[in-house]
Amino acid sequence: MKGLQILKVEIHNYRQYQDTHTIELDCSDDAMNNVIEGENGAGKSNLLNAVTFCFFGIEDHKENNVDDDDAELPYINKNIMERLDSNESAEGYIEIELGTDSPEYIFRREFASFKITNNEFENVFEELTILKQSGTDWEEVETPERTRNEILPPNVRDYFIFDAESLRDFFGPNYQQRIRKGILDVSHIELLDSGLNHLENTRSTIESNASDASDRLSELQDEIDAKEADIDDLEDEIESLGEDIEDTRKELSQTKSKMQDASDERVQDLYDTRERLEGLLSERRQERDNRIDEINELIVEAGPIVYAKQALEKSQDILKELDLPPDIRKDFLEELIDDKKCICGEDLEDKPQKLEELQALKVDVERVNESTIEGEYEVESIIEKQSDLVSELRSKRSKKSELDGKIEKINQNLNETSEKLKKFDIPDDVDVAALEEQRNELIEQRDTLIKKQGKKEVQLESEEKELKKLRQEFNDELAKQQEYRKVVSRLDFIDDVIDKLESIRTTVLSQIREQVVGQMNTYYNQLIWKDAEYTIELNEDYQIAVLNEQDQNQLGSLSAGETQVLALSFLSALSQISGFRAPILIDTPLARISGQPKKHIASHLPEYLSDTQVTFLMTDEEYSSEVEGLLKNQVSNEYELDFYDGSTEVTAR
Amino acid sequence: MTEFETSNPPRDISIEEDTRHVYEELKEANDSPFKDAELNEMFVFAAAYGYNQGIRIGLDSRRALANRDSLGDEQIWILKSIALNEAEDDDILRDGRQIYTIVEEYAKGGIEQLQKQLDGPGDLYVDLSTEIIELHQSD
Repeated sequence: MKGLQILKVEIHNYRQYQDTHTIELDCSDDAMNNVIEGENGAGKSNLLNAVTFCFFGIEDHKENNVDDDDAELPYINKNIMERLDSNESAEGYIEIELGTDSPEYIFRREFASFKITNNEFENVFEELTILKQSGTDWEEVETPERTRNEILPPNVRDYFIFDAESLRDFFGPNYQQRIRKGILDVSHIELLDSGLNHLENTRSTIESNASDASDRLSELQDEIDAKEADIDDLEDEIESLGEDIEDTRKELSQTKSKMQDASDERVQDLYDTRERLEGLLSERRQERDNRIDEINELIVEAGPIVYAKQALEKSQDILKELDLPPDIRKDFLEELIDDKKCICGEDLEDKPQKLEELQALKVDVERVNESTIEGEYEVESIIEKQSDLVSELRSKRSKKSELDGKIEKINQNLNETSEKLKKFDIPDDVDVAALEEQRNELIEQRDTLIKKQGKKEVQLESEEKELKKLRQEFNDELAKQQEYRKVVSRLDFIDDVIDKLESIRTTVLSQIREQVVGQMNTYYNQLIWKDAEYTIELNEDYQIAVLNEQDQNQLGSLSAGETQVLALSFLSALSQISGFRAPILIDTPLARISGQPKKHIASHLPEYLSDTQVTFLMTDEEYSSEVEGLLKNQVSNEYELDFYDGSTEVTAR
Repeated sequence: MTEFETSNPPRDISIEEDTRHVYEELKEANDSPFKDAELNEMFVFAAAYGYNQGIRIGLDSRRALANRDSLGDEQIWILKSIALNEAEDDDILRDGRQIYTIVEEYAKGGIEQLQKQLDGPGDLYVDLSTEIIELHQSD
C-alpha cells in the first residue's frame, strides 16, 4: 500500500533559504524517488532540518547552524538579519504538504528571529498547525500533535529522516542499546507497558493498605517503598545516560565529518591510516572474541575430565578388576538358552556342558548392570581424549595471547597517529589539532558514559531481585494473618497477571526482532556489492551477527561503507515494520561508498522501500553521471542547491 | 562402611536451593566460561571441581536443576567415577540414588568455590583454563 508523500515543501527565510523556495516532491507510482543535489554547505542538512523543525520543532542535523564558537545562529536567513536594525525582527515559515496522491494535510510552522544587537538575537517559534482536507475545504486540526503522531511520532522519526553518513558509528560501542531502542520504538507496546504500570500501582496500593496489619508488615512496606524509589531513580539515570551516550555519538560523528573537510593530503593520509587501523582493530577483537568462545567451550568439556582424572583412573582400574563379562545382552542369552543354541549358532541340544557355560555367562551378565560393561570402554575413552583437549586449550590460549599482542600494537599505532594529528597547524584550513583533541575527548566521554550505564544496569538488576524478595517476604508475612488471606490471593493474582503480561511483552519483542532481521537480510543482501549471501542474526541481547557463507561473524571487520549499508538496512527495516506510512528522507546515502559498490547500491536503491517515497539528498560527488543514469527511471523530481552569497538557490533540473 | 542397595538414580539432578543463583551468575558474568554452557554441563563441572578441591557438603534443601536424562554417557561416567572413588566399593554402581547423593554434595562444594573465584580478581575463564592446563601437566 502506497504511503503518504511529501508533495511540496515551501521554505520562507529559513537559514540559508532567503525568501521563498518551493520544492515539489510529488512522485508517480513507478518512480517513487526524488534527488536533491548540493555540495557540502549548500543546504541539504538544513532541508532535513526544515522538515523536522516543521514537524517536531527540532533541528537534529547540524550544518551551519552553529558558528565557530558553537553559539546558535538565527533561524532567519543571515542576509535578512543584517538588514534589520536593533530591536527589529523578521519572520519565516516552513510549510509541508502531505498526501498519497493529492494534498491531505498541510503542516505549517512559523518562526521569527529578533535582533537585539548586531551580535545578539533571539529565536522563537510557534506551535505546529495542521490543516486537513475535508471535502473541498481545509479545516484546522484541533490537536495537531496527535495528528502528526498518527503519521510520524517523534520516537520513530530517526528511522524516516536521517543522515546516512552519521551511521558510520552505528555499530560502534553500545550499539545494542540503539538496536533495543529501535525495536521498542516500533513494537507499539505502549498499551502493554501502560497495563503493567497500572498493575504495579494497584499492587503497591494493596500492599500499602495491608501494611498496617503488623509492625513487621509496616517495616517491610517501608523497605519496599524505598526500594521502588531507588529503582525509579536508577531507571531515570540509565535513560538519561543513554541519551547522553547518543548525543555524544552524534557529536563524534559530526566531528568526524568536519575532519573530512581538511584539504591537506598528509592529514587525509593519516585519517585513512586511522580508518584502516580501526578496521583492523575491530577484526582482531572479533578474532579474539572467537578464540575466547572456543577456550570457554574447551574449559567446559576438558575441565570435568581433568578435575576428576584421579577418580576416572581409579574407576578404570576397578572396572578392569571386576572381570566384566563380554558386552552381551541378557535377553539374547536367554533366547539362546531357550533355543539351546550357541552364540556361534551350534546346536547345544546334546551338549549339556556348553549349555551350563551359557547359563553361567547369563548369571555373570545379570550380576553386573549392562551399562557398567559399557562403562569400562567409556571411561577409557574419556581418559584418552584428555590430552588432546588440553593440548587444544593450550593452543587456543596461545593464539588468544598472540591476538592480545597484535591488538596492543594496533592501539599503539592508533595513539601515534592521533599524536601526529594533534601537532598539525594549517592556517586557512580545518583546525585538525583541535578536532583531534575534541574527538579524543568525546571518545573518552562516550566510553565513560557506557561504563557508568553498564554499572547502573547491573545495580538495577540487583535491586529488582531484592525487591522481589521483599515482596515475597511481605506476602508470606501477610499470609500469617487469617483475615488477610484474601488480600494475599489478590496480590498473588496480580503477580501472576504481571508475569503473564511480561511474557507477552517478551514474545512481542521477539517477534518484532524476527521481522526486523527478516527485512534486514533482504535489504542488506540487495544493497551489498559483494558476490556472497550474508545471514544477519539478532539475538535477545540485541547483538547482531553478520554471518558469511562459512558462518563466520563479519560484524567486527565490516568496512565503513558496509557498516553504513547495514545500519541503513536496520533503519529501513524499522520504518517498514513501524506501521507508519510516512515518507523517508536520507541525507548522503552514498557518502562512504566508492566505485563499483556505489554503482551497485545506486542500481538497487529504487527497489528497496518500494511503495514508499524516498527523497535522497546527495553531494555532487555522490550523484555522479553514472549514478544519475542508474537512478534516472526511478526519479520523479530532481533539484540542485547552490549556495552563494549567504543564500541557497533551489533549481529544478 | 555404607551399605549399598540396588536403586534407580533420581529423575532430576538436584542442587542446594540457595546455590541456584550462582549458576545464573556464572552464566551471565562477562568473564565466565559458562555463558553458553547447559546447566547439566555446569553441574558436572561443579561436581568434578568440588571433588578435585576435596569439598563435599551435604544439601540442606534441594531444588531440581536439570533432568538426569539430559546427561550424556561421558558425563554420567565422570559422575559415577567420582562416586566410585568416594565409595571405594564397586557395589555403589548399582545404587543409583547414592551415586547422585555423592556427586550433588561435591557439586555444592564445587559451585561455592566457583562463586569465590568469580568474585575474586582476574578473569574466571583465564584462571580456570590455567588451572586445567597446569593440573594436566602436573601428572
